[in-house]
Amino acid sequence: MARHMLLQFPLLVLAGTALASSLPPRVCAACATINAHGLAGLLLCLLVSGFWMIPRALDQALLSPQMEFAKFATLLAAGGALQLSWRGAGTMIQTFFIGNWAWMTAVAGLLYQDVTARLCNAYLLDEQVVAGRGLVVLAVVMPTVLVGLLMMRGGLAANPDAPMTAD
Amino acid sequence: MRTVIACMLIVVLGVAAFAQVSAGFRVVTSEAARRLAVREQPPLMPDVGLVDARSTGDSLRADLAADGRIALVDFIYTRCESVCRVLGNEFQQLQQAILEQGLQERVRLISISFDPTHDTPDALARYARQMQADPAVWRMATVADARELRRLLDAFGVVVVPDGMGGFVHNAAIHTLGADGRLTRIDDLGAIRSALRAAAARSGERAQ
Repeated sequence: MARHMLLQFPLLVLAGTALASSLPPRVCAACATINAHGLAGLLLCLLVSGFWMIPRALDQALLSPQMEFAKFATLLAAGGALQLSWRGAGTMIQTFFIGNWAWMTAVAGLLYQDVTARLCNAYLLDEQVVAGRGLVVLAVVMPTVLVGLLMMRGGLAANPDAPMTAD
Repeated sequence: MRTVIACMLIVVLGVAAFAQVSAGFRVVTSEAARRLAVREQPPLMPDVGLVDARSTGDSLRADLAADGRIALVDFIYTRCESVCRVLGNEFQQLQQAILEQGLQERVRLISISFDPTHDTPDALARYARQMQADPAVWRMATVADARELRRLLDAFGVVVVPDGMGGFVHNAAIHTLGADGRLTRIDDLGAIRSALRAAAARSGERAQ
């Protein structure tokens, strides 16, 4: 379960970002017209990652080929959307996005550890606890990385006139 | 404006996907979904041949129809030391409750082993003696053809996972089957009283 959620999912998202960065500029420009400030793309990322934290979705991905296909497609798409949206989003929306993602992931991770019954029929109870811990770790690491990034680009300087975007 | 429309579209699709996987925001686990689905539309169980020490290969549905009683069914493997011991205990208590309440004409128990390689009819007979199973109330059987096991487990929605220590973990529960071969109800292991009460009430309805 931990490998499924904490290894396969992030790798698929990374593969999605790699795919999107090799898209021709024409396609990127077309995407940008419906993705002002990266809002649509980041919204898609939030919903996709939330969806694949539902225990039944994980079970179904293992039992039904269609659901497995949907998992690959949506996680790749989420990675692509992240790549196409992140730069345009600016500090404010980036922080909002990572913040929302982090609390959602942390709550899911805490629930996974706290529930005494098995959530997935396909996984054992101790795997569920490990996956839960991993999710909480991710929920701490990602905002930390974001703060680090912002510090590096000076986005945390107390200057209200500073531009909010990275580029 | 286009972004707003794109966002709205994403939200609509997202809500639809969440609703789909959660059966209309009512469940988050496969186990809850399985129980809900069974209650809303009792599925017909496959006609799989069962063997035990006394019979070779009469089918599950033929057995249910010939017997006529409501059957409370669980899945076991006799080498199990953890949850099946609990399940064994629950079924022992159920057997006792059935006899005490004089329900043996209306309700019976079936334990089906999902480990036909080890649980031969002889092994099951030994296990039945250990559990002090009354043959008139409690039948222990396994599939006659191991290739049919998958079909049976899938129909019941039982998922068996190796526990890495030579045993298995499975979503153990009490399954209520009617004489028509339909799975009408799934209860937690601990809920023997409500499972029995529901079975008694249903068999009572039928008798009237």
